[in-house]
Amino acid sequence: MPVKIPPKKGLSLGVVGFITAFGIAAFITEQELLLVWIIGIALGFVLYRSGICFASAFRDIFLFRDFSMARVVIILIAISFVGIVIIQAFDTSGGFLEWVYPVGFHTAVGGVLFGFGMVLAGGCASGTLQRIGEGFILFWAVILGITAGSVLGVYHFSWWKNNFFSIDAVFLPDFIGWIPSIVLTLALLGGLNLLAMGIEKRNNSKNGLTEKDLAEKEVKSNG
Amino acid sequence: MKNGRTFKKRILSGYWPYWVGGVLLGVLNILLAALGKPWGITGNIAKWGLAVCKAAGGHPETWFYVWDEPLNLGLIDLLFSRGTVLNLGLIFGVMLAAVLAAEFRIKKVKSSRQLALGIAGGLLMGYGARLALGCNIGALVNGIASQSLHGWVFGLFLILGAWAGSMFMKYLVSKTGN
Amino acid sequence: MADNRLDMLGEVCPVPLLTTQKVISEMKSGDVLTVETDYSRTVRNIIKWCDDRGYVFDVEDKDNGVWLVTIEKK
Repeated sequence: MPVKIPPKKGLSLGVVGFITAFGIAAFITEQELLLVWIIGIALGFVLYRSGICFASAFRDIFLFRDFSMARVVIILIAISFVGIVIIQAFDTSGGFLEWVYPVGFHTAVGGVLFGFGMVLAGGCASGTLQRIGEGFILFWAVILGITAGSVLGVYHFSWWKNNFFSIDAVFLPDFIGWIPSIVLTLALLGGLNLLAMGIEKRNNSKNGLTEKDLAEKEVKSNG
Repeated sequence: MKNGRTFKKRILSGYWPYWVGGVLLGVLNILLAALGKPWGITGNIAKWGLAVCKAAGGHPETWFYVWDEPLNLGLIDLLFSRGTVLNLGLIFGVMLAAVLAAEFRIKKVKSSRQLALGIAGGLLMGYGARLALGCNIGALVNGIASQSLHGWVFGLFLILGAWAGSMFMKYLVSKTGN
Repeated sequence: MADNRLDMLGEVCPVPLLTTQKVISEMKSGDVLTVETDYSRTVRNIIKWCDDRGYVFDVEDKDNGVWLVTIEKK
């Protein structure tokens, strides 16, 4: 049995101390911020323990033919979708329309640059924060890069929006109706999930391994 | 090599399965949406950049952009804004989890190549996220979940970019050894 | 049988797994590779890859947040 090396007590106390102190300060500023702070801590905790990384979801498809993380992202989107549709249904003020942003050529350019950048850096935006929390000095440089790039992006945004195709926010239910939009979203997410599962299965059988083989191997190595 | 099995068992009990993480993140995201706006990360980072610009004498508040709320670049206001509290919380939540598991460690920068890739990747991500009005979380997850077309468009082109990046990294590792 | 060592301290995904794959592809059957890493996700990635390929592996805690992953090429 490998011996578990004990945690550094001083460091644990320091982290817990800061979390408490900032929580109190946030609560004094605005009560709701304490709730946001707790949700933020929970997000970080879950991200670390489960090892979810959005950059790897897209990168590992191509580098390692691994679709497991991509499927987690689909699950995350589907769950968020169900919850948000319910919120949208009960929200009569239409405040949720603020989450719907313009779309156009700038969205496509932004997507390509973001996708390329996150693979180079080794983490997307949440991954960068996550790795700072894990102690990577490198990701302090990455976040400085993100900050500088963001300023430039805000500065150039109007040029991209004015000179190329762009339309104001497209909220799908306004165009095709609520039911078709909900059905379409769920169908696309489900279809992508099935596609990922299908390719994964084909890859396994290419390696000469079926799920049954993998299960047998597991039993053998346990014995 | 028996430890491998034991370790895997332990890491699997200590590390949650991916889908559990996905479900929990989804629930937390819905909670945030119920509090007014779903999860987002880079908008707040951009505001910090603009605040620095302003402190240096610039006038970033006059630049045209689609903000989620009226732009307020006062440092204390920004520190106790939802976005900053959420991002800082994420960093410290990760740190808490790592420290409690005795896995926290300061990781040094490995090489100047790694640093250059990191800075270049960061610049591209920051610029791209602002053009697309969000990152993986804000544009992809919550764009699609809010039934906004920009989420799907962003996702499609994100895959293209990630493919190009993957090929580039593969080339780099095969050329240089590591 | 030869012993190989790979220092992946401070490296982030996907470099550790890509390099591991490259080194292993140049090794002979029965050779052993030890990868030293300080990134928990790297351990998880390598373990999953070894499992998919049917390689035998071992993981050892070296220090707070440092692991030694030993892989034997089949």
